[in-house]
Amino acid sequence: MTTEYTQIATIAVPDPLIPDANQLALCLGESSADDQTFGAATYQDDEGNLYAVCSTVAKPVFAEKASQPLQAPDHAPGVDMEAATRAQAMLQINGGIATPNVIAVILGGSAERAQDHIAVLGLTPREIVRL
Amino acid sequence: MPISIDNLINVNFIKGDLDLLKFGLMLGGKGQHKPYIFTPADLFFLGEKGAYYSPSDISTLFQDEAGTVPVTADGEPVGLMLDKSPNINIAVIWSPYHLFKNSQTGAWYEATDITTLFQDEAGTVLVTAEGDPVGRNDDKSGNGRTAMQTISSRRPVYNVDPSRLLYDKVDDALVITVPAGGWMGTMVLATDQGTASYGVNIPAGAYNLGGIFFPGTAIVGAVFRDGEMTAGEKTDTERYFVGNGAAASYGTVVDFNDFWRYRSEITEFPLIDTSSGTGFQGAWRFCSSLTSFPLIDTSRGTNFYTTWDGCTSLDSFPLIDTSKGTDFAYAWRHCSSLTSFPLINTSSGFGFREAWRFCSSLTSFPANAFDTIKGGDFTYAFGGTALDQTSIDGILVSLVTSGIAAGTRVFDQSGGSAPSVATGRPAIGTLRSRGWTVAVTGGY
Repeated sequence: MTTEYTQIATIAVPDPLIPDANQLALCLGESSADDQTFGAATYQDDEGNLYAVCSTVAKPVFAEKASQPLQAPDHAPGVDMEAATRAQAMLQINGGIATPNVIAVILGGSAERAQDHIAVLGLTPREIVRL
Repeated sequence: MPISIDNLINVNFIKGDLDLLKFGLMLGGKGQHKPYIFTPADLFFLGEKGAYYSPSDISTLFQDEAGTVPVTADGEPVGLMLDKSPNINIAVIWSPYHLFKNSQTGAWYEATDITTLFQDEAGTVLVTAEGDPVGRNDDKSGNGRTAMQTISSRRPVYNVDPSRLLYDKVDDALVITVPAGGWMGTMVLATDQGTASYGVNIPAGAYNLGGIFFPGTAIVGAVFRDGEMTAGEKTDTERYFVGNGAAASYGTVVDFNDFWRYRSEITEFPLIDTSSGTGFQGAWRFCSSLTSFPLIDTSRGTNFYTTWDGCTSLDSFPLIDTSKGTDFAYAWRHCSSLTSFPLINTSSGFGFREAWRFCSSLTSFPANAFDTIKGGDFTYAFGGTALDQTSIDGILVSLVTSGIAAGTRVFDQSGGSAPSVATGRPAIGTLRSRGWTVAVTGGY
């Protein structure tokens, strides 16, 4: 058997964009609970901007779905399409470090590590930063 | 007579049924013989002692120790295996099933048992392949405490060889709903980095198995048992998981940074092998229910930054080997139940910023603790403590003995007793003459 989840996506959402990004996650995800994908903004960049980060396995169709017109999925017919579309417009796939004006995505093969993606995004866990 | 294989076979077969030297499947030959199929049971034909077990014979397998519930399907636990020799032995097969056989509460998860894994929380999509996300891991204890993850991105991933669940240590976690009353007992956690048994007190509600801080990057198995397990049960459970592919100890781990951070459910920490560890940053930070700490091997440890910060229930601390430690900043901050502290080796230490700050019960601190330190950052190091005069005097004299006269030179104390006129104040004078900034209780 071969898994359909052959990619890993690590996504950094600037703090103000978290509600919209959760609607996008609900739209592109597989569960009705995916509107809770991005929780507290526990990562930060070198300038102190805060981000919520998630890392997940993904199907190859992820990048295609993320760039096409969105449709409400069966598991979430009530998804806020306006919010999801706003977030979709902010997506930047494999564009390097996270910045406050984009939702940065690092997409790679499933053998890649989330921690390496976070390093590419230029983020560190907020709590580990020296007090 | 020419020698041939036929001749050799004939020689043996005509010796009859009692011959112990028997050949394999249906060998034939010339002359009188009976074809014979060897089974290990023949090894006991003349009354030899011993036992013969055959797990492929399902009629010999039972789920319970008493032999009342037969094994009938894949994935069922095996608690008893009958001996097929004439000696009528039995083999009691140990598994975590035995921890729950008398209706004890708790949970048992086994990532190596793919029949208990599903991609979705509803259990409708089987995990079948490497890389599949795992949204549900069924409880094998009989208590029905299914571990689930409803949010897609937080699901760990199944790994086939070796069989385990991979966690990204970003957001992956399975959520266990602990029943009313909580679980006060033992947790055995088997990971790719090590396997250990912990005393735990887990309140009712959602409990995350995984998360950003975790002692490993993969889970092989986990057991939670309400009611403390015996030493033998802990050993057996650890061996069971190690037999399923978990690392036996933490003996090869170099970086323990944040391994048990925020594990406020841990009440008792085991004496694990940390002899290879160099990094202990935040390893037990906010383990607020630990009352004691074992004498682990930290002889290679260099980084103790925030290591025990927030261990508010620790009322004693062992004389661990910190001789290679360079960074002790915040190491014991908020250890508010400590009343005394051992004479640890600080001879490689450069930084002690806030190391004992807010240790509000700390009255006694050993003299000579800093005689050979390598750096003088004691910013807020003893702020919010309750040091007696002998202790603060001893600390100040020790800093004088260190001879530090360059680099960062800051010392802060608040709370407790002021330094003495005869000993503490002269020491402060000497330190200030060497460029130290010193602030102490009483304002001298």
